[in-house]
This record gives sequence, C-alpha cells and structure tokens, in this order.
Amino acid sequence: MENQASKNDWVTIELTLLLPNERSKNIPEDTSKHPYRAFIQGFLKEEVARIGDEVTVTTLIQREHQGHLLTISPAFIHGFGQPIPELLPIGNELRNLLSDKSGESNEY
Amino acid sequence: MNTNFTSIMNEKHEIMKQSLGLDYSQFEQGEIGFDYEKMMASSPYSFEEVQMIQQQQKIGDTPLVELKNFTKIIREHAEPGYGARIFVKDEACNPSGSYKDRRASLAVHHAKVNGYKGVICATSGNYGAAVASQAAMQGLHAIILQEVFDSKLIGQPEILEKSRACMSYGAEVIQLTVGPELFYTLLAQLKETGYFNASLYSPLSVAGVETLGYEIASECKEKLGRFPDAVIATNAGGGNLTGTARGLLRAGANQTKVIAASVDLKGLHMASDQAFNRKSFTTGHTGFGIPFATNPDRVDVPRNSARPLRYMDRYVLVTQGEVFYVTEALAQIEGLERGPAGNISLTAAFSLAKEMPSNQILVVQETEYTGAGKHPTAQLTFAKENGIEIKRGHPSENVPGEKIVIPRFVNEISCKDIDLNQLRKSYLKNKLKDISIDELTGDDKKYFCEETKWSIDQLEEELHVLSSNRV
Ligand SMILES: Cc1ncc(COP(=O)(O)O)c(C=O)c1O
Repeated sequence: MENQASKNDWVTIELTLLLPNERSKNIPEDTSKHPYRAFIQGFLKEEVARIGDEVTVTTLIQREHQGHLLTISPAFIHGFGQPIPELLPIGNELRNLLSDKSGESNEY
Repeated sequence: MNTNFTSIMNEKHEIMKQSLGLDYSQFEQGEIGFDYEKMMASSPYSFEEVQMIQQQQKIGDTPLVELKNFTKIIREHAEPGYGARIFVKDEACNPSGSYKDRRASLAVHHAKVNGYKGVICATSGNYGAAVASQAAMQGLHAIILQEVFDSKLIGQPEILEKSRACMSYGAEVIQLTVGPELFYTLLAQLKETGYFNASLYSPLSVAGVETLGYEIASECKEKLGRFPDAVIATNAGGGNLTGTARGLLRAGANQTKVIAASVDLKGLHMASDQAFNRKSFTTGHTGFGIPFATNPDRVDVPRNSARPLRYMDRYVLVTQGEVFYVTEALAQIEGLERGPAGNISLTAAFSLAKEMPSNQILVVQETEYTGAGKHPTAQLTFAKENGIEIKRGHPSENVPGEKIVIPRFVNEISCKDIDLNQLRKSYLKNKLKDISIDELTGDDKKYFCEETKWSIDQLEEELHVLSSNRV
C-alpha cells in the first residue's frame, strides 16, 4: 500500500519547530505567518506506519528524530529541466565569431 | 529537537564557545574593535601544515587553465592593445566540486584532532557538501542544516541538489523552510549533540582558502613570469575573497588587484517566503554580498573572519542573464561545463579584460561543479515555472525576480561598479548603531581604518559627517 510504510523503509518526516507566534520577530509578514518546519529523512523505526502518523526515524548518522510521516521512498525530483531556446543558439554564434578570425595568428 | 526559541538564543555565547573551542573575548579591543590578525593567528595550523592537511584530504593544486577562445573574442571588441589573458582556477576539481573543500578541510581536521564526534554547519550551498565530504574522509558524523523550501514546500533545484550531495556523503540533512531561524536550529543542534561548529566564518575556514590565492600567485609567477595583474572572486559571505586575497599577499603578490563580483539581486528580500523562489542564484549575489560586507559580524560566530572590505580594490555586479550566457559560452567554446554560481566572477572577467592591456593577466579564481539542479537549463526551467520571463535582449533589461535577459551579443556583457566608499560608509553606520561617537577609543579608530582602508583623516571626516547627521 502506497501510504503505508514498514520498518526500515527510507522515509521523510515533517517537524514543526516554531509556530507563527513563536518565530523570530524581525521577519517579513509573508514568512512569519507560516510555521517554521523541518524535514528529515531516515529509516522508519515503527513496524508499520501511515502517512501523517507520529513516527521515529534513524538517520544516516544513527540519530533518532520524531515527526509526522510525510513521504515514503522520497524521490530526488530535481533534474536538468527543459532545453532553453534562449541558450541553444549561443554556441554557434560564438563559434562563428571565432571562425571569422581563423586566418589570424593564435600567438599571445 | 523542538526547543524554546528564546531560551536557546539566550545560551548563544556559551554554546558558541563550546562548539568552537575558542573564546573570542581574548581578541576584543577598544569599545567595538577587535584584533583581527590576532584572531587569524589563533588557528593552531601554520600555512605549511594547512597545505599538508589539504594534500592529505585530496584538496587543492587544481589546474590553472587559460581561456584562449574567450580572450580572442574579447580582443575583437576591445581597443587595440587591450584584452588581458584570462585564466581560471578549476576549483571544480576538488573532491566535492568547489573551492569550499578548502574551507571545510581545517574545521573537520580540527574537530577530529580535538575529539569531537561530529561536525555541524548551516548552509544551503556548496559548503554543506564540502563538510560532508571531508567528514566522510575523516570518519566523523556530519549534520547539515539547509534552508530549502518555501511554505508550499517548493525548493530551488540548486538547493535540492545540495541536499542530495550531502546525503551521498553520508551526512544527516535537516531541510528547513525559509527563515533566519536557521541560526536557532543550529544552536539547538550544537547543544544537543556537542558536535563541532564548522562555521563558514571561523578563522579556520578562511585560513583554508589562503592556499587558493597562494597557488594562483605562485603558479602565475612560475609559468608566466609575473603575478596576476588582477584576481576576481565571486563574493557572497566574503570568505572566498578574504582568504584568496590573504593567500596572494602571503605569496608576495601585493600589487595584484583584488576584485569582488556578485550577481545583482536588488529588490529581492532574503527572508521573504514569496521572494525565496524568485531568485535564480542561491549564492554569489548581492543579497549576501552587500549585507555581509557592510555588517560582517552578523553571523554564527562572535567575530567574522571573512572581512572582504579590507581586501577588495573594486566590487562589480553582473546580471543573472549574463552569467547564464557566459556559463553556456564556457561549455560551448572552451569545453568546460561548469556550474553557474562559480561563473559569476568569470562573467565579470569578460567585461573587465577589455579594460586591461593585452600583456596583463586576469585570473578568475574558481569554477564549481555542475549537475542536475545546478545547471542553466535546470535553473531557467525553474524560473519559468515560477513566472519569471526569460528572453534575449540587453542586460540592462534584467529585473531580479521578474525578468532574466540573456544578452544577444557577447559585447553587451558589461559589469557595473559599486561605490566602495558608499559600502564603507554603511559599514561605519552599522558599527556605530549602539555607541556614541565620543566613546570611541584610539584602538577603535585604528580598527576602523583597517576595516575601511581609510586614512585617519578620512575616517575623522566621515565620523564628523555622521555625528552632525545625528543631531
Ligand atoms: C562556488 C562558490 N563560489 C563563491 C562563493 C562565495 O563565497 P563567499 O560566501 O565566501 O563569498 C560560494 C559560496 O557562497 C560558492 O559556493
């Protein structure tokens, strides 16, 4: 089941560190209206748990943290994105500039 | 790990002292000054030992390569007889892919030698990977705290990549939402674990970068017969420039101009949840560069070892679009695919080399690795998804957080100078916030002259202007 994890599964937990009224005083309003949260990945300690359950994880350095189960087998979602049309022509533009100069000496 | 904010902040000084094994009060001098050189000398490692430690840790001696095609193109657009030779120090060849390995090396070594079981640092940048990598080599635990997500749980691809890199070296990564409470979390973790504070701003961290400036100076002297005429450093927190400049001086290159370069992100608030994902650079930008230069001691240690105003001869800004253009150019005509953040100084070099005679040498002091997330295509795709307009046009059309303009022609790349005296004045104003000018001692004034490179007469004049503005 996708929203259920078993012992030793690699999971992410979410912790609320500070509620909006506990946050630092000198921050913009668009930041201070949200709680200050942390996300930690580790191996699940419980036998089974569901998304949202209060659980304990053991991290890569064998420390334990408690929080709410957020994701199971969290993926790395960053990549190289899309080709960028504004960048693609640059290589040829520069090579053309260089080849205009190809008859000239390379001496420094 | 949930501890009361105020109680932890009140224990700040004690936690710092324990986690750094260093009492900063011994360096204090006058009412607000301190003895910077004494603090830098507090590192127990001689320069030769630093070189040895870094060699053992697989750091440094990176290639210094000439960018001949860049120079050719620059000379096309320069006045006859102008267009300096450009060299770049390929710091991406360090173990975790950036010059930050130099910075992490001593902290992690020191932690190991002094019996700490692990190291902690708060950074969303390359430094986290560097600390994690060094800790892996030394068999220590590493905890890396990163500001990653906005309130909707969206993170910059570049920072997500940093989280992944740290985990790949076996570190525990604590990912956090936007906010300056990163510092509170750092204190809480230091207290809970008793680990060493691998701060970016300790004397050890800056001493580790001196080898970079030293290598540049010695290699130029040996292979090219002269010290570089100018060295450009990407500037954020200022340790990169400070350490490099100190290394150049150590090698005897005291005529070399030291130039700082940052990406202009004017108008984007650094602690704002909404602005967080509207920047396309996560370091090397003015959101760090200017506040750190003008208020260096607002960091995670009592006194910041990174003091770029002491060393910079010039400070220039480039736009995000220009850096992406030059990053593309570096791959396409020099065959070096490197990360954009490391190419900020290279972008400035493109513009500055034109002003320098063709027999001069301009050194760009770093590159950084590239990969998923840390790449122009990744960062520009993310920008588009966040509603930022991407187009080709003149760099002057760039608007941070709204528009990224990729130059149409190579000769449109042109950096802009910041007035250093203006920075020095804001520095002075920041330092004098909580003290009346009459209370300043001779030591304080001497200290200000060192910090600003002003003569005593110049300083007195600025103090006079400030005090008349106050009444
Ligand atoms: C690749 C790279 N270059 C330059 C810098 C700037 O260094 P500093 O923060 O010491 O100014 C950083 C880090 O912020 C970096 O990761």
